Amino acid sequence: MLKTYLKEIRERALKAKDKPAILGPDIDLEPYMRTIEETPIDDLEKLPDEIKENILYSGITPSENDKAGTYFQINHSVVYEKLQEIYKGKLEIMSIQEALEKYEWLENYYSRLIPPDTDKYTAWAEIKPTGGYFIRVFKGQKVEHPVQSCLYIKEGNISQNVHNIIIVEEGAEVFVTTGCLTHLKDQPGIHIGISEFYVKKGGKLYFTMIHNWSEEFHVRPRTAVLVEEGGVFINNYVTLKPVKSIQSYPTVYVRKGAIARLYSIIYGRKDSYIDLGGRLIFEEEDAKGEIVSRIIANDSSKIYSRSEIIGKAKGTKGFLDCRGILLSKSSQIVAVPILDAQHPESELSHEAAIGPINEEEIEYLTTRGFDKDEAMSTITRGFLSLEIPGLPKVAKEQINYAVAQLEKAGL
Amino acid sequence: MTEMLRVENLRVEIKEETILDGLNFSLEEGVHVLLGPNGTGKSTLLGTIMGLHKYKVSGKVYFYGEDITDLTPDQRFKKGIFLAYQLPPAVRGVRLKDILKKILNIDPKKDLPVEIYNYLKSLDLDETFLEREINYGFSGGERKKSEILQLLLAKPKLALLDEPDSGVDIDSLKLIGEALRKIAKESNLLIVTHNLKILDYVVPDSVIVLLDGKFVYKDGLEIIHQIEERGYDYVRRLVYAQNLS
Repeated sequence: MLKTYLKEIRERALKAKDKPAILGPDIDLEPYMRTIEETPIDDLEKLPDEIKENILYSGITPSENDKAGTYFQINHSVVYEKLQEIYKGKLEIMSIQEALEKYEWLENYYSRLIPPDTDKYTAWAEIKPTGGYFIRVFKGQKVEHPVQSCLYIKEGNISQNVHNIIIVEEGAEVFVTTGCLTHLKDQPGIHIGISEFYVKKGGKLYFTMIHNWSEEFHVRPRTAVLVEEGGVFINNYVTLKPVKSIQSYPTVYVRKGAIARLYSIIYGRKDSYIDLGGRLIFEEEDAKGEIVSRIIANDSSKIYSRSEIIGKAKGTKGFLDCRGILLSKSSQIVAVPILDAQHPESELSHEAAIGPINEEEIEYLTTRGFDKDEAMSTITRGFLSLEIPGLPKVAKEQINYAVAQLEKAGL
Repeated sequence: MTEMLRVENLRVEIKEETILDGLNFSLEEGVHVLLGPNGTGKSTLLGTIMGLHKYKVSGKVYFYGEDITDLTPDQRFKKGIFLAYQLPPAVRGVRLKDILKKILNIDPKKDLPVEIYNYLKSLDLDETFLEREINYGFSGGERKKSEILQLLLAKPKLALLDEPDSGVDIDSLKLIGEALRKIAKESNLLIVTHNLKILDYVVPDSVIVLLDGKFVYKDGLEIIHQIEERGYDYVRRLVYAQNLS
């Protein structure tokens, strides 16, 4: 029974409501637990101009022509959800609350990858849930246009606690792009996001998340993904704006012959504290994957880049690649690569390099007519423009767009 | 003949070490080859003419009569000076075509002019080469060809070439040589080389021998044969004799 199950989950959560996370600064959540209701809208164009403008930075467009569907949440309310006519019967998008009311079988997915008592953040997401999306792509359906979801905060001193579930059924394929952001400048706030993604046998999920938080925001995503036999999961994560703190350590369970790739582009500014990890667990034979990070630390930002690959079976192969550039004396990058081979035929390797922008590269470009500032921004943009093999054009364009915003951000 | 380049009392230090010490010479328009033993400062001299900022420079550099000593490399590029590196660095994420567009000063969103395809063909390169990250994973020969390709588009007044022929196979040497022959029709050249084969393609108007970072011996082509036979010590003796007299 789903009802009984949810009750158990809630009880477990309550016991963990004060349990600090292993990593990241501890936050007292209780002062943020007020609820704000928003009125739904029937057209994204009716969003306030300020929001419409801001979401573009996260790759979310009010015009939905090239999107399969949209989920839009402001603060604690779903203000808009829509599936384009031609995609009806191929996938479904709804809030997690609706999904829990509709599907008894969600018991097999909800909180199965991320236990509610992992830490106080997973606990509060359960104790005081305030939305989140449910996306399910039906068996064998290939959704050509991306599904966009936006988790927006427009009031200060609140905590947005979302629980998201994506299920890509057997042989299905989808791109999902999520923008998590706020336009608030001086007010504090918290975003907690529980994300559980299931990629069934032979399915493909291309997921891009672009964060645009602000200097007073704490962000605690908790993500876990199960990629079944022959499935593919590609994750792109981009954060370019200052933030108070982000801490996240997504885990991907990779089954037989499946592939998982995690790419992150991180630009730390002001006094941002960013602690981002990625963990691939190759559970069955021939699972493969890589974790690639490109990091720039400026001002007095502090960035941890943790990446971990665990090879438990024959024929598994993984690669970590972390590169960072420090642009200021008071910034810091800590790269923590972990390779954990638990089978003699698991092949794991890593590369990590952190340093300044190479003077010789700057100089070379200046001999070709770039002035020094142009040379530096060209190198920086080049550094962040990851060449991701097999990345669909749509996702690539979104990343390039986000990186191009760097220039507007005054790099 | 018009004076193109003049160097006065040029002194260059890198990390407290003096590489060039009180050089004086001038070059007229034309093709010049710069010879000298290893470690004598030939690359440093080219880098100094280009204005690379890793050097601490005193003295003066004049280009067509204008004092360019305090100009940055990009300013010197705009004055028409181009340096083809011996070992150009890889710049990740920056494509060869991005550099070529900058050299031509065209909008990054616009296409390269069609003449590029002739240049690629002349160097036995295909257009996928343009998409590659500059110098990243390039073979020795590809690096040289990339430098020459950039030079072909830059059409500078003065091309500084730092060993354009080192580490390339015979076929590539021929292609590079032919390209230089073409470039020499429009540009002045100052070529550093150890491989005199390149001179089958471009005939120098003068030969400059740099010795010990201090002395410049300027002569006609015949000095090359003397060096081939007797080594640089022969030139050194000539220079010292000249200085004594």
